[in-house]
Amino acid sequence: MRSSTRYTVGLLLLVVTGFLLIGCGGASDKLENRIPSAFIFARGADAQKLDPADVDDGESVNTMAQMFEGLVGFVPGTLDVEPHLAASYEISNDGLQYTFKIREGVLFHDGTPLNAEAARFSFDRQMNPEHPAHFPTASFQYWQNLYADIQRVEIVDSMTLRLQLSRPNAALLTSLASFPVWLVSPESFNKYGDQMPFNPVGTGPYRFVEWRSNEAVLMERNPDYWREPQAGFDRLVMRSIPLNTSRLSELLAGKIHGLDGIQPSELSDLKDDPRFEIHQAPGMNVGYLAFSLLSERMQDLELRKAISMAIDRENLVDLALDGYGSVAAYPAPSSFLGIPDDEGPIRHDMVAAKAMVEEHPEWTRKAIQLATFGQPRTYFPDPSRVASLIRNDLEAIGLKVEIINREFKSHLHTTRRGEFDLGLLGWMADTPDPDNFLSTFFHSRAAIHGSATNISFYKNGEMDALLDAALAVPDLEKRKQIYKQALEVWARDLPLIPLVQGNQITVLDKRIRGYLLSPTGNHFFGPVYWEAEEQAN
Amino acid sequence: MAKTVSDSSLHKKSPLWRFLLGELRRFILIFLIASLGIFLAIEAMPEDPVSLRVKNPDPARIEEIRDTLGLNDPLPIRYVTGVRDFVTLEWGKSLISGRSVRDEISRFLPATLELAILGVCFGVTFGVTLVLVAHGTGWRWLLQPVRGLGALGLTVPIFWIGLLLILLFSVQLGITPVGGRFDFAYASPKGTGFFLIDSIISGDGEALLITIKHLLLPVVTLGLYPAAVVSGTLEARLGESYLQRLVTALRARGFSPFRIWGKHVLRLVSGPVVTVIGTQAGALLGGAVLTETVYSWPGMGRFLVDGVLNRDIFVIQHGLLLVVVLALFVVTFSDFLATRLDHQLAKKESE
Amino acid sequence: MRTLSKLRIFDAWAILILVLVLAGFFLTPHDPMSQAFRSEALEGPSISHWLGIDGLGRDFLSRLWRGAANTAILAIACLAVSLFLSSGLVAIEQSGPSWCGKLVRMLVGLWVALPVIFIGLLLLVFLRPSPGALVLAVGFGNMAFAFRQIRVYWIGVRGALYVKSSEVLGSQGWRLFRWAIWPNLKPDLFALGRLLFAISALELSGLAFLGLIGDPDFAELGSILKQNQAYLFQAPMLVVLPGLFLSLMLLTTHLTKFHR
Repeated sequence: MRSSTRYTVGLLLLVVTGFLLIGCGGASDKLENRIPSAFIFARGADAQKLDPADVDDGESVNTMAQMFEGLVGFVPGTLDVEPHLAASYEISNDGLQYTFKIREGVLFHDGTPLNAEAARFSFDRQMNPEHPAHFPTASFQYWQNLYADIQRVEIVDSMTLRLQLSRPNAALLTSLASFPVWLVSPESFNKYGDQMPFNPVGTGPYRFVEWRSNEAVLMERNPDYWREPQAGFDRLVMRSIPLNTSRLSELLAGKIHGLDGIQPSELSDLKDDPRFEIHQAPGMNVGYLAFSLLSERMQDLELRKAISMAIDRENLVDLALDGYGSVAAYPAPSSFLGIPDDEGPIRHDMVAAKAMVEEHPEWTRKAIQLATFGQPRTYFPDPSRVASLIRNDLEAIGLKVEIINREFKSHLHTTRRGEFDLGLLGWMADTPDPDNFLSTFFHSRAAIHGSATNISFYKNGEMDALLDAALAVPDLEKRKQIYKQALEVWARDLPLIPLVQGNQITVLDKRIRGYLLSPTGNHFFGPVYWEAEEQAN
Repeated sequence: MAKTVSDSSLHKKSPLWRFLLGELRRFILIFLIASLGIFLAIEAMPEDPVSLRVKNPDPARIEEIRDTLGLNDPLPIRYVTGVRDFVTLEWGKSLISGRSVRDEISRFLPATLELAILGVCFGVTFGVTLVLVAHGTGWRWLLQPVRGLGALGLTVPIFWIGLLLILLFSVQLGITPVGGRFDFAYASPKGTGFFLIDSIISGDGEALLITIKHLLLPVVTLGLYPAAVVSGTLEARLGESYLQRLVTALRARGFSPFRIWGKHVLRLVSGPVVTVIGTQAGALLGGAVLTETVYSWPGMGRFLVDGVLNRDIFVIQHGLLLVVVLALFVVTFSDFLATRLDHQLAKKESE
Repeated sequence: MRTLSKLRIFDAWAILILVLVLAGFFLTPHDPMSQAFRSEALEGPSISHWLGIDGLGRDFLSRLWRGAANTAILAIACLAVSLFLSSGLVAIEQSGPSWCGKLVRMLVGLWVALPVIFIGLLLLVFLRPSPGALVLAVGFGNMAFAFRQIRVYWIGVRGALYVKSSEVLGSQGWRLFRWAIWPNLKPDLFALGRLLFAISALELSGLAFLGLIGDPDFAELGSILKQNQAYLFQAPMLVVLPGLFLSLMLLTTHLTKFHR
């Protein structure tokens, strides 16, 4: 009997010892030194669909970014707009006409030549409900949100396309560089019909080969790509590996060349590893704490102020983001138009907060419900850790807090109905425009019970008017001023506290060159290549 | 797990076809109860799956989509269409990816079955062989690792041991792949969806090797639990006195230990072992979920858990029902098999 | 053969472990919830913190100890739920009308087919995730297994010769149960209890590992493991120890089986 115990404990210890070796184990170089013909990148989830018009998850966009392009696009590594599939564009003085000269000689992957007619397909199918490619179960949500001001899409001549707007929209040009209007080959619809989302045909540097769902999307070099640099690899594989630890293990074992979506605290080992390079930059996101104004006690502005002063946001960055991020001073990233690059109006002051709580003993009677969720997002790599830190801060000033932890979908369901006191959530930008944050958070239009993105249910006519006015003004300086006023209204009413801005993190093999983090948060692997062998050692 | 007896002892005396008919009736009834249960569970879900899949929902468009999907039809109609769709294999499309649920399942099910069947085979063979060899040869010391292994299987969390195995064998030693089913530089075998069978049929040695390498760690991880349960049951059975009398008698007749243990005793104890496996089918599938997560295995477990988390109704409805039906098959079949085997056992004892 | 003293020593050992584990409710050196040591986050073992500090500035020994206590208590609760439900079902099945028994057997057949993880997931779509909901999920999940086992024991004991003879001798009802059935049922039930305890604890931590326990700070070994998973490469002990604690605790219960 004894010996059986001994065996079991022995077996356990064996495994544990082996495992502990990893802590001190040296970095054994298992990556082959020759130039690989395939570039394998891993992320946490598979793409959902490969139809630019009907996705909203980052993984689908990241996959499509290798195969599709828009009329205009972003200069790599920046948010500046440059012509892509259009050779040039022109905006009329009243801001109502956008005219695009289509680039000559571009072919879709299936050989279809690009012209105005082919380009119109990708717009028409979204705006016209009668269009055969307006799939009945697709939501086309971005059309409603970003492009609804486009009234007509006209073909001027075979290589000229014109968009006619119903009213000026200063944010439209950046929107046109975003993924929902990347151009899809009209022939692919004729060929695949409603299976088109699984057979993507675009103009990008890589073309589609095979999709093993929940495993990987396989792509190969597009030999007819229209511009330099050409694709750097024969094959591009985008794998999905849900468990962070497994993904990291694949990298350490040399089976993949890059990954994203891991938690900052998991990076500590990679930082000192000569085989890898960590690319990081502030992401276009804000993680925030919302007060539900549908909850009676949260309508008390004093309580909201006390809570905002109690939360140590620096500490959140240190312990919940492990330093890979920054305090969000305003409800939109400071790189955006009209958002000041300063410390913002919220101060951390435990003493004052505690004094306020002592003045209001009624605040401490009932526990405040703090709603949070389980799955990691870029803004909160571990949302429950954020909740835990906030609870400790609030308990330190004398409040009682109860954490309600749901999985993400249930959490969304709860927050979209405002059924909480404090709620943790975040927003990742669709387009680099302040309106994409401020209207989402504060416009009363977005406070519809059940589908709200304004989860504070903050309704203020003054705020609505400012946000609407800002969109109608094409002049940048004037827009800036209006957003400044809007931020003042926010700071006065405080319906939500911006907490942190998470960094986007990509880890790549050190010998990979040409990669630039895009502020949009998407990966563009087109220009990426493998450093020549002789320099590698 | 000292004793386990099958539920179907009632049917022992009836002829085969009547037994089958009874089982069929029972099966259909359970199927109806299960489908109703799953349907009602989905119905009672507080969230609207259609609006949740959208980041920035527009209520009017969502109503349209719900109409197209038939989600606004009256309850009884939807239940009947649901059952009809399941039986006719019209499983609809995933709300999230828009792919046909049937196609997805026909990819994921073989992956999980391959893993689960090999896991059970490994566990059972390993457990049974060790116990029998230990008893048969009289090398009692062999029993200690068996018990140790049994204890390990019953006391160590699957997700934990899985992570440790990856770190040891894949990252540290670099012997096995970290996860996934197949290499991405190599075209995967086509055909039945069971890569092992496919690569043997096509005679592709390299593909076979790759497949086996990828199967190694997941199978061992998943097999630990059945190995533990089976060796535990077996040990308990072998302790029973009639078996010991039987062994003494057979030995007195001059049979070799190999023949005694490998043939007679093995046949006698196989009944309870089969029942135990049947009873544990559910637990195995649960283990498969965790194993699939740790080893990035593209299987049913992950597909269904994602389905539930995403409130992907057609995936939950048809996928879960399929799993229940399959597990029912396993339970029924193992009960049936155990009855047969026990039958022999009963006869033997009366001789 | 085992000697009496050996048996006693082992039982004493098991009881000692149990007491030690449950002491986690009173004796932890620091408050397992308070993030009093934020500035020393992730520091290794020291005199004042034997197992170091976790990522959120809490004493790790205190968390593990309280975690073991919570896991043990929750697993016992699951076990109670399963045993209660399944013995109730056995009672109905054995004493009720035959169609009733048939129905019960059929439902159990269905239940066995459903993995506990799915039952837990489905349940948590409706219930707010909390330790109580987890106990219900696991308890209900293991009901079918417990039912099958208890039914076998019951039929075995009920049909045994000594019970039949006590019945012939005029013993019935409670007396029959108390003096003829219970003593023979007891060892099997205890063995089943031990097994269920181990299974429940594993499933509990499995579900907690998937993040279904509600309050992320609730000290349970699986949820501690989940909360620390990100530190696997940075501070491996934070991940190894919860699993090791769980395994050792279950090993102790498991091995008592051989000393029955």
